[in-house]
Amino acid sequence: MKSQFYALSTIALLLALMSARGEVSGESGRSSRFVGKLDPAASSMNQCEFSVEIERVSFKLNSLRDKYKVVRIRVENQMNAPIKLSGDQDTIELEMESGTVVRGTFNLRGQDGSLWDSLSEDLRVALAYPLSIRGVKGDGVNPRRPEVVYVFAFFPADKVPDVPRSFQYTIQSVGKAVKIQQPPATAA
Amino acid sequence: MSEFLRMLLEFLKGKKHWKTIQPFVLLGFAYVATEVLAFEYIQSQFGFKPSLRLFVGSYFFIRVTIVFAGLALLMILFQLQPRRGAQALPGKVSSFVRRHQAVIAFRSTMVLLVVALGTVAFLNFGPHHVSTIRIKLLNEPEGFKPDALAYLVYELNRQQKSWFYELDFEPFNPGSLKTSEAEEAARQERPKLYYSELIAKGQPLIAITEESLGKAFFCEHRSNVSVVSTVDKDYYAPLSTYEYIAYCLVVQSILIHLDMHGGGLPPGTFEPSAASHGGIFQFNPNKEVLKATILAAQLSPEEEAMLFNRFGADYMNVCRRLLTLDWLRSERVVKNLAVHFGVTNAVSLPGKTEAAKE
Repeated sequence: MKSQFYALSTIALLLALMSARGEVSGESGRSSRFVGKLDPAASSMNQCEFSVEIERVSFKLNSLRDKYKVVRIRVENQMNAPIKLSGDQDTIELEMESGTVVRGTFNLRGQDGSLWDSLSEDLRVALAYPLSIRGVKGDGVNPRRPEVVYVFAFFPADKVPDVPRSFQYTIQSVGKAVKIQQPPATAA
Repeated sequence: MSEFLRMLLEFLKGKKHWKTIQPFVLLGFAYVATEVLAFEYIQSQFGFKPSLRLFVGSYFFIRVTIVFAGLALLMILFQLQPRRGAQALPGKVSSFVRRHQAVIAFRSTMVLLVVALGTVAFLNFGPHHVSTIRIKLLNEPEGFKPDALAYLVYELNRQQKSWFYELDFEPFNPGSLKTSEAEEAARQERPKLYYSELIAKGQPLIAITEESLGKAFFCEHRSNVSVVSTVDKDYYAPLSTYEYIAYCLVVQSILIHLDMHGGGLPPGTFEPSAASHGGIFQFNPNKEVLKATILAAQLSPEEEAMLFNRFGADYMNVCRRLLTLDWLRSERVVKNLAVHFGVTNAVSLPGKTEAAKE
């Protein structure tokens, strides 16, 4: 019984180690993770974080109707205040490894109305640029978890042949540009 | 009354055709007694005493009349005797049936016909059934908490069984519209109502927004959809936004039910009028009147009659009770809102207003 317990614990530990993220992992096909903060100087409790995960092979192969590369940006708002968003005024750019800057859009309807109209209603609801990101409001009774919103950006597929180096996301209402890039590699 | 009835019976007994009319006299007495019982049933079951005029025009009265009219018609028809067949061997069922087959066939047919006609009339004069209503937020609210609103909506469901609300928690995003829909919305005089109609897809819907409705005050309604706006909170303060929304939800539900199931709104609904008695279908251009209407929430006799006849006594009673907002101001609900949602200003109390909180 004891030996079985030790064997199972060892297997579980090995599995945990193997699945843990780390630069030392030799796993091929893992996603590239890009992160950015609205105010790098602010504490984590008063921060808004942006992250993107891109798997290279599927990114190169997939596109929306062969016209647009779709990038999903995860926004986690831990600030008290909500952040107003505007599909027309907020901007998104990416920088390729070659240094080329490609401008994208959050408002696919404005960019390509016919393609947008051809999408199903549930897809349009999912892809539509949100109006705002809620803040964390503590009412002293129920602490709220930070609001997480997924924002979809669309880039011309012919100009984005590979995984970019970084993104620059500008939110007009806060007047700031967030650089979303891969964190520096940790020393071995 | 009993003396009068006794004298009437004595008078009728002396008539030549008393034996013929006696069943109809008994039926008449039974009819009157049944109507009286129906009247008392309404009082005891629904706590509501209709006026005689309202009761006589109600579906209760009409349905009882239909039943007794059917019985009277059957009694008349049964007096018509088809010719019997030749005498057959006595004491045998088959002989009896063969001898009286014309009578049996005639009476069976008449019973089925009268029952069928009576059923159609019975159902036609019954109360209409109402439907579930979806509630949708048109924007992310800042003046109230969506979870507290959800609790109030569920409390509205708990308070009654006449209809149910479903709350859609995901705020509407105009960015999800098709190009043609967005262009049409830009041309609309009432874009919020247009959005609501798109969302509703023909089903009942009440949308809530914190933005202006343009020329409309507080709420707007068209067929199966309504929009409630909290932008004019200064006019209903110190009533809380929760009290205001709860009241509007009930009123707009009545409008939707009338339009979708009750034959439409009564003539003159929401026509501007400087004079007002606080009825829910009145529109007074003076915005301050809304506060008084909510505080003294009541159904006028005409409104009661209409709801009673179109949707039944239970529905009318439910509306009367919900409009007062006593359920919202109850200790249990106020405590739940404060303890579980952090909402301490859900009901307006002296000295505790939303403005004071701000």
